Amino acid sequence: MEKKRSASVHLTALLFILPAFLVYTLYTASSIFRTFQFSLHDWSGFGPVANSANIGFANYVKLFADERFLHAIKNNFLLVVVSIVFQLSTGMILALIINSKNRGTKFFRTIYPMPLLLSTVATGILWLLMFNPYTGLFNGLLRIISPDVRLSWLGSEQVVLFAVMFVICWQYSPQYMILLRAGMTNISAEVYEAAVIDGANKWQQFWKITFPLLSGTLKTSAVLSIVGSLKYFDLIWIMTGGGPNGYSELMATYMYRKAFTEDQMGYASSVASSMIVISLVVIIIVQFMLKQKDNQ
Amino acid sequence: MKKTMMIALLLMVAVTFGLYAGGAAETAAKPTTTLELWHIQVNETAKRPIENAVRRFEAANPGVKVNISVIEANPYKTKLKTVTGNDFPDVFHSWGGSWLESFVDAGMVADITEASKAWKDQVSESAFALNVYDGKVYGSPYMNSSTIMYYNKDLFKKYNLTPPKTYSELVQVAETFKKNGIIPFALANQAKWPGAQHFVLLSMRLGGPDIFKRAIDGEVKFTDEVFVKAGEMLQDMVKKGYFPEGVNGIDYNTGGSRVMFYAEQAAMIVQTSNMLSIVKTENPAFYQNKLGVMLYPSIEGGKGKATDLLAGENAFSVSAYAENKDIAAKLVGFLSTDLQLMEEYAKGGAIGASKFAPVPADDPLLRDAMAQIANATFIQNFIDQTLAPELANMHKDTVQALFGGTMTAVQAAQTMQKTADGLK
Repeated sequence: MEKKRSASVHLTALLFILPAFLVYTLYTASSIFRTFQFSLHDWSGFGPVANSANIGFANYVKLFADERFLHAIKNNFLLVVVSIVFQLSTGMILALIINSKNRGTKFFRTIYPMPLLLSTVATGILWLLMFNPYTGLFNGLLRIISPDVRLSWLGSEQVVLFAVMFVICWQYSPQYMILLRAGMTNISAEVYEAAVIDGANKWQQFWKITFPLLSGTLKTSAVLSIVGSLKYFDLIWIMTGGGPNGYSELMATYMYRKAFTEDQMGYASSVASSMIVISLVVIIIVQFMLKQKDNQ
Repeated sequence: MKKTMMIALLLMVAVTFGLYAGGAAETAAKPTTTLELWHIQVNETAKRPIENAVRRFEAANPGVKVNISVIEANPYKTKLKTVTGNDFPDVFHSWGGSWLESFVDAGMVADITEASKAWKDQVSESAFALNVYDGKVYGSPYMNSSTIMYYNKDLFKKYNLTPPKTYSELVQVAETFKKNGIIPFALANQAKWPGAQHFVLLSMRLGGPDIFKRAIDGEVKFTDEVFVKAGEMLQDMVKKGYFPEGVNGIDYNTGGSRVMFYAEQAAMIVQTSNMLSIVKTENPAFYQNKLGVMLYPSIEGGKGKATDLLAGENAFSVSAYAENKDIAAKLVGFLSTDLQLMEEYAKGGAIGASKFAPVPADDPLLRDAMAQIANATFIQNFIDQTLAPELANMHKDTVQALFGGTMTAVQAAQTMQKTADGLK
């Protein structure tokens, strides 16, 4: 009787999972597999892929000698580091501000998430105008100090990546603020009361209570931030298109450029497949490191 | 109880799939011929005339219904590449040249050689030729476009200058403007193509109008002294301050260069004829009183003339998947030649593709722009539509790097040749 019951529970569970599983297989897993298949072809994207030559791993050989792509990987990893450092720390500071019981925090609670609510295209165009060397806000401010400033924020190969990364951090910090704030509300007030009785100051309370108890949320945020940075596309595409001369190119923008402006769908698929592999490897390593830390 | 649960579950599964299947089952019976038309003229000055012309076509051909979709140029390029078979529009916008050739090679474009005989001699020849591959016709132009050198008439008058006809005159003009704190050329080069036009025109003036054709055919290399010299001249102009500083960070679409031009911070601008209709809607007073058009100056000792034009087309092609290709081709012909359409374009500052497009008496700017095309001694199609896509991107990247000063003219030329070699 018991056994029969458990079998039917399993069946029910299976049926519940089935629709989502089928949709996932159809739209995600099979697409990844197809992308890999495409990457083995010299396919322009026109006509059926079966009509194009199967060239084995030639696309990959070309890819890992492609300076543009290697530069894009470098940019992606720089973005990962910058995102973790700046988005998480800014998110933490903002979360602490809106979590404090000072007057006026409600106001900040409303305005801080705004960058996240704006459409990315609007954000991109807004900052594009602010970065304009002649009429933009930033050079306008700099000209108060020195009247001859004509810094080309998005036109200079040295500056462009940092300018765009600043905007990306501006846009995503509120997301981590929301996550971390949610984590903070889960910490019981009694812990802080006990700490106050023991004579701990605010600084000690943060490092000894808030920070360790938020480690779970922080880990999730870090993983989200890494994945997001590795597949990042939109603001870069809107603000610079990967330029000037490829200096702000990311793997995803390079993939798009190859697929849709240069008619090299096969080669672009090898970029996409490499992105999947790189992201997977990075995530596995990070998860492993985080687990090691837990075990210590 | 268990049974109802199972049924409920099965229903859930069925409904989930039913939703996915729903999209395909909608096709209703068609009593008439329906054509899907896709184009990119989002600007009201061209969008409205096309819409009106299509309605006239429908009235003249009972039983034909045309659905128009207007999509912005960049998303359009992506979208057209990802639709297949039945979803592919029956009549679609094209830029001719290498862009259309990719679709032709893939067998996605209908051959309209026969049908086009009915209207071909009414259409601007240079533009029509951009749709012909191996003697077969795959499209027909509906609107022309060319690169024009615009200038501010007021500023020229103020400093007693005349539009330069040669490069040395251009240098004199530019130096005068610089002395008076005005930047000679406005430019927004973030999107790369606006600045690339300078390089292309310099190359054509130096090496003769067919220099790019010869490079594509392999008769000369991209490392030829003409391209190196053009790159050096361009960088010389940048160094002398003929362009705004930081041009590579200024965006054209949001008006980066036009704002400087309107504000009289800059005196000239090299742009496509499309800017005529933009200025007409954006700043009508400037269009009326201050805007002037001229030809890009020739270079002393160069093989090209000032009347050699850089131009392109907006064309329509018929899909190879279209059910009724004859009526689709008829529509393409109608949009290439209808005089009322050409007249409506002219009101908005656009140049119709018909040879008989009426010349607007009250719009001297458009008249001059049309005369530039009519009197052209050579027409080179826009380079980014002519070069193979990968080479076109490299061309735009290297010219952008020339503007930014991060590549020398020789390095840029070598990079181009390397990419060209890689394509073989």
